[in-house]
Amino acid sequence: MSQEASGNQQSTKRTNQPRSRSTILAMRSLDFSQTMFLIQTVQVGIGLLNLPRVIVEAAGHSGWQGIILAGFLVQIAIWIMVVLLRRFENLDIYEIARRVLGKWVGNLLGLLFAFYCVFATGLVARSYIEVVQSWLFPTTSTPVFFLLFLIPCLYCATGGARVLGRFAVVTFFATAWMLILMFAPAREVQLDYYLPLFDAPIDKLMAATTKVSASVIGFEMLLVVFPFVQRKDKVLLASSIGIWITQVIYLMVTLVAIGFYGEKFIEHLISPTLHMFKIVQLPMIERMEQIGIATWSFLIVNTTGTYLWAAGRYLHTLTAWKERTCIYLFVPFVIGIGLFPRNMFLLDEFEGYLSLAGYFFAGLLPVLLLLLALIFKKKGGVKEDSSPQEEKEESTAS
Amino acid sequence: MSKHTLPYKCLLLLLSTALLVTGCARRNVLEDLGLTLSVGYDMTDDGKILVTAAMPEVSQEAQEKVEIIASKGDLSKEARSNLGLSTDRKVVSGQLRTAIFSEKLARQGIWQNLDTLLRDVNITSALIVCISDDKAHDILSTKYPDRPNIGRYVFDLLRKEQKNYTVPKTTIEDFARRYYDRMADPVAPYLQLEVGHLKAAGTALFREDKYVGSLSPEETKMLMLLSGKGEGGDIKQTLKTSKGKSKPDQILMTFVRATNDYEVKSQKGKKGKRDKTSITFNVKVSGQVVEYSGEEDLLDPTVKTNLEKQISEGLRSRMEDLIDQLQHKYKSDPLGIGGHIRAQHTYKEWTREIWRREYENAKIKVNFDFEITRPGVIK
Repeated sequence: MSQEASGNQQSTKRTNQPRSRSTILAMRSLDFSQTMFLIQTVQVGIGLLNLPRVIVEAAGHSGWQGIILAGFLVQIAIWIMVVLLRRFENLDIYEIARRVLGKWVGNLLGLLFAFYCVFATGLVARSYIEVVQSWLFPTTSTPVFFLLFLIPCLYCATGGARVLGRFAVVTFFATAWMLILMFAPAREVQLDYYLPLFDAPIDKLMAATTKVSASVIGFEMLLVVFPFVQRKDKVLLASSIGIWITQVIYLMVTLVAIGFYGEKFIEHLISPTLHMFKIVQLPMIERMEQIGIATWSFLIVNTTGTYLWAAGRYLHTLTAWKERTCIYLFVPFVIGIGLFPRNMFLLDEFEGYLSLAGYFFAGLLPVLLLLLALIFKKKGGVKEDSSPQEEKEESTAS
Repeated sequence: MSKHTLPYKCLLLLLSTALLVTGCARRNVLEDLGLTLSVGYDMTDDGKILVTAAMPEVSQEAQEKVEIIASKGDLSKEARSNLGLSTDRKVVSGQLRTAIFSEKLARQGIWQNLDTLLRDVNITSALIVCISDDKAHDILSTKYPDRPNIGRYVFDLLRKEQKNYTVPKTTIEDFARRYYDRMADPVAPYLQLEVGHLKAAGTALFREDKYVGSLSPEETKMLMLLSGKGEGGDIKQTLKTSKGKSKPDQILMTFVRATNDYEVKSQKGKKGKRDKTSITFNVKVSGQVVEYSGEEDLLDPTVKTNLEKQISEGLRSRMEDLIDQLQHKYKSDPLGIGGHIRAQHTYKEWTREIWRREYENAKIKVNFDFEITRPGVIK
């Protein structure tokens, strides 16, 4: 009861009057497809550009099986997340951490999660700028480009969950057409490159799976976005469809790349996906990959915007400040992290740390929190929305 | 409300000034650009690399329609950047369509030169790599009265002939892929300079990146049939001499449908001997007669089967000869037989040594099955 009281206190601080039903509904504004596409587009970021090479380096031409394995791992992670989130009904990861671990440890964990999001924002944006510089404008100044890039990113982030959800739908349809460009190389695929089919030993395949997992991270945004989802009962389905769309896209791109380039040549191409855009020959457009890279900015704005917003949510749930203010407070950190790596090599190293953190926050953290919640019998406080039947089921399950 | 929109308006105004920045971009005026369409690589007698670039002239006043400049250097990139020293235009390579290497240079290996071309993001991956029998500089600097733009001439010629299967269809990316993948050796179109015109003269064969020999256009067509292409190409076959004639009959056919598959079998070697791999190519072709110098009635079923048998048998033996040459004379694997072998077996690691050994020891057979679908329009 005390937790519930503190929760109410926060909301009264913010609005100075009890929330009406309509504002709560407006807050929970992500419908089924928006949830699905939000999870999907946040996952697809800069990783897909290099994915075929990363996989082949880890496990040779059979490495694509790692994508399927990674898909199942993500599915399990999503399932655990949803079980955890449903248990606490309307709370996001920050509030759950506070409830389960207490004020201090919970806040610390929340801070770590928020900084992980800030790191992701900075590094994803910087990696994209790095790609633009190596393919289009080698002499453009990084800081200026970075600052300009932050404008649309901030626009999305400060718009809140509703804008992010809608932008995710736009992003999906604005970028999905690029798969059509894969037809040109797909027609010239050589089957010999796939054979023998199961050539990778299990340890290498696991290595490939880990590598793939680094580029499927992004679905942990569900932990923050969950309170805004309209239909809590459909969230597992929506996010599962989202992650499998990602897996299918990854699988298609990787299979085409392996069949078109062969495992030995892929290792020499830094971004095989971009190289494949060059295969399409159109009479008017000489370098198709330029359009590809430009369109890719949708995905990057979407990913970085969502991460930045998720970071801002930490301060917002902790203090009584406006969401917008909280997001602006994190911007200097984003700029610092994004501009800190001086060259590609340092950036690669940072990305390695980021994916390690990603494994922890997307994979381990929900499991930990769920176990602790089960042991200490903690659960969601707001009772008005949940039907008593569900309550009973959950309590028996625990 | 207006209190909130004002900052937005200011921001929008500020952002719109970004449009003015476009005026600051470096302009590329077409007349001032040297759009390299074709580049030639030669090896000079003192071991340096001579790079020749052909750039079409767009201005009306120019007497010549194309500007040819050449420069020497120890490295190909060095020579390429030195090109700019001898022209008032800015040399750009975004429109580069063909890269011609002389046979002499190609025998030493061309990978280094290709690598710099691949690294340049401006250069399209559809760049055609070809080999010339003599100096590439001569091909580019010779004047062709009817074809003033040499860059286009080479590209159009090769692209047209690729459709007739007299030269292989290879871009720089195909070349690089085959160079790396240890399953097939690269091939490239082979060019010859004849008096006053260029000639697409078949396939240049490589072992890794070193030129080892060339195939005639006729042999190239057979190579294409063996690798599953060749639909729409035509091929000539000499038949048995009919009675009362001194010269053998000839027949020319167009392949309307061509399918191809292969089987790989490995036989256990006897004690102490290595396993032997045998590969059978099954080429099934149906086509129509374009030209026939004999006098027999092609509509007669017995004549037809007899002809089909002769053609199949003739082409089969010619293809097996060709493969034998590739295996033992040129020691080059343009068909990707190494890849076929690798695909059917599990090796711990597929190395170049295993590939060469397996390829040279493989027993390769061809089954050629020809069917005349139409005798043509004239009886």
